[in-house]
Amino acid sequence: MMSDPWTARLSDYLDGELNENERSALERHLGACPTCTTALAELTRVTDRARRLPSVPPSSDLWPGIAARISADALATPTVPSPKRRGWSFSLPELAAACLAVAMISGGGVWFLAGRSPAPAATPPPQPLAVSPAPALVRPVLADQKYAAAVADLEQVVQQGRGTLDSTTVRVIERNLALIDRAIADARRALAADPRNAYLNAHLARTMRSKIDLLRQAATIIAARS
Amino acid sequence: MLLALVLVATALTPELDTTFAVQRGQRLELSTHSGDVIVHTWSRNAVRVQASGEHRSRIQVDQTASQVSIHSAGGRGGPEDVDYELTIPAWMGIRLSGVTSSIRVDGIQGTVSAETVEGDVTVVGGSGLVSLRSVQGNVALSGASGRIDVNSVNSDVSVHDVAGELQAETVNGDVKLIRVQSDNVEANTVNGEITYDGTIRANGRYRFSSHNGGLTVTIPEGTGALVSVSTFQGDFESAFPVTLTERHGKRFDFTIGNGSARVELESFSGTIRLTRPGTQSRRHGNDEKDADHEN
Repeated sequence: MMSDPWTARLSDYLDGELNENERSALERHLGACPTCTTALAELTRVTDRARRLPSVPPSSDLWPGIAARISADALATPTVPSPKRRGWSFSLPELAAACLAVAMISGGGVWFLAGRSPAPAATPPPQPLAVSPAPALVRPVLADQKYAAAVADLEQVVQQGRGTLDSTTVRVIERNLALIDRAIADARRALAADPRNAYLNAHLARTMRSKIDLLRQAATIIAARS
Repeated sequence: MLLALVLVATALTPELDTTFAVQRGQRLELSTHSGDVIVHTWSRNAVRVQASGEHRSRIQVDQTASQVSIHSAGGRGGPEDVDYELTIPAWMGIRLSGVTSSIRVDGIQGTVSAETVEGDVTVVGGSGLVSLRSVQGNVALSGASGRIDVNSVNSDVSVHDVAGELQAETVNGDVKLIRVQSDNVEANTVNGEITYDGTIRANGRYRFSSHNGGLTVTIPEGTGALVSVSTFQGDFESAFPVTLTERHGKRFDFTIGNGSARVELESFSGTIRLTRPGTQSRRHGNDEKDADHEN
């Protein structure tokens, strides 16, 4: 766990919910604390990305389950209970999970755009990715479970639609997914050795998001060609 | 106001060459499966469509008050293979999509969206929202301004002489950003190098990240920035003296000038280099890219 009490206030700072004294004190702290500065930058990116997401509700059968998993575990679990807490508030420990959750919300748009509901009974579910030992700065189990679920869902869409892609495109996508998987494995191994490294935590989250993005892109291409 | 869709031209022959008037504010949309798309501009408020395709490919051009649409379909229900050469007003916004298509746009001043799966995307010009994507091809942009988003999967991304918010990303390729004027730049690759040579403005944000590749970032004289360097297995080199404050692991901070801009440099296993303007960036042997590029 992080012992820095300011990390829990970064969301409030971004939301403009600190009073003047608190804000001044936090800004002084940011000047001397690279960890909080980095965390604030990541938090800003996550919230910016969240704000850019389309608000159109997905209409497929698959999406509600994904959204429920995200909202139940990742997005609506504030570290500091507050009746005023808004939906897009995160503390540092939730950050990596939130990054993935945002990516998964984006991923949910694939099914909306595709206008299709995959038939899970017809296709064996893909194997979930291996889960690494727990780093200290994130909730790895939460993130990994959600990540594996999102990846599995997207892989299912891609698997079902791969017949619409030419073989070269399939090969390129698979090659790049493998490349990302190797990068994820690298980051996991590094984190296992240095679980408190904020850079590695953020790097892992970002690389995992790259895989989601690529799968989404593949699914979008499939949808356009179906 | 003209609301109804008007059929401008249709052809069921291998060739089409038609020119028709358009009004300022109309956008052009073209979608095709196979075949290259070339777009030129001129000063006339008119669009010329030259297309050549397979026998029995069907080419249809429609126009509404807000949009010109060009679509093609293959004979007997198969995918079409049509090459397009368009000449349009420079002010016109365009949206181009293909599958097995290379896209080239020259001299455009309006918004640009261009995406393909297999083929290069090359655009000169563009303003407002400029979004270029290819899965298997190189993406190159120059002379644009506005909010720029360039993305490839298995190839390089190259951006020159642009101004505005810039986001560049690929998975297996290099990202090269040269003569960029921006206060907000982000570039990412998993397996490739990133080169940035552009402004670092007061209060700007610049973030570059690679997993398996180096970063080369030019820091102009007089820059004021707080620079964060993070790596796991890589190295850090600077062409000018800096005083590093080490954080946890191989992570360093240093301040240049007044420190008002924020520069974040991250490479898991590559070398992070800072240079001065005019310095020729070099490739290093320990930053090898995946040799499996498939173009």
